[in-house]
Amino acid sequence: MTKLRDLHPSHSAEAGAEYEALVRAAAGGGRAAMERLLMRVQSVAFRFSLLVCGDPQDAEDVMQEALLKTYRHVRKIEHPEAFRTWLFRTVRNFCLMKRRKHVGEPSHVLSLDVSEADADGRSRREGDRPIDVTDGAKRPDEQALNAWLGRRLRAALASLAPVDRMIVLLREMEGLSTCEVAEITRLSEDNVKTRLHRARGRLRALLKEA
Amino acid sequence: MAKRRASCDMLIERLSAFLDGDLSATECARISRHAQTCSRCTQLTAELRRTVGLCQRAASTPLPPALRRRARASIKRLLQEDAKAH
Repeated sequence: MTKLRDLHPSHSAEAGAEYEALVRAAAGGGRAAMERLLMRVQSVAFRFSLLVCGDPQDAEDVMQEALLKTYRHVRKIEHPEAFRTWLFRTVRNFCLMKRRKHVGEPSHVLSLDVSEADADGRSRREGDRPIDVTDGAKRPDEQALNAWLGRRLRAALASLAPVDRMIVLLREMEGLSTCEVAEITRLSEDNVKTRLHRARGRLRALLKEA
Repeated sequence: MAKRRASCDMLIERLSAFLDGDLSATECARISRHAQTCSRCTQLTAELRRTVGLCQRAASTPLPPALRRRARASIKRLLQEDAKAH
């Protein structure tokens, strides 16, 4: 039986090596490499923020912040091999800062932390709200985002606890290893595996229903 | 019947780890053997693979065109400003 990590190039060590090579080339002064890297970083930051936190405007802000931070970071980078982990930690922190700025605006609050409250993968903290994945008929931006990622997938991901969404995104979409995901989410590897297993099962059931 | 159910439970419990290549060769062989003889578990495995495949395809889709244009413009602006500053 084929293993999942063999099905997609981003799920191999090649993806990490590709990032590393791009970062080295960009750090060495290659303009084309820098442009490619920054484009990729913006894409990754937008997708992460949109899927984990749910707000397209916040996601675009996070994309901009990731662009500037990456540009400064790469020019003085010492460990290109650790770039991917650095990037997702940075984007996660930007998302957390967005959340803190929205204190007092409960409609935007979504916890990224693990708590007893979301231990079952469904319930949320007080003040959290489910991400609204609009049908798309009314808002052109939502329509474009649903066409981009697929409305069914966005809706299914939105039903997961924020930390589980983050794990699915990092592991399945971005192809990070369990160890890297554990470092970014500050969970144990066993916890990441357990949560991923449960989240995959839930997504499977939801997508099957849809 | 009870043995088959136990094998199904074992597969459901270990499927994620199995597909990620996190199990020992012995455990993998046990799961493969069961999946080949149980249509329910074969279907479950296929569905889980499709789910993961859907996530992976979503990740490889480029940004929507309008957003991509804004992202390109931001990069151009940043590099120009930096070139002027140095």
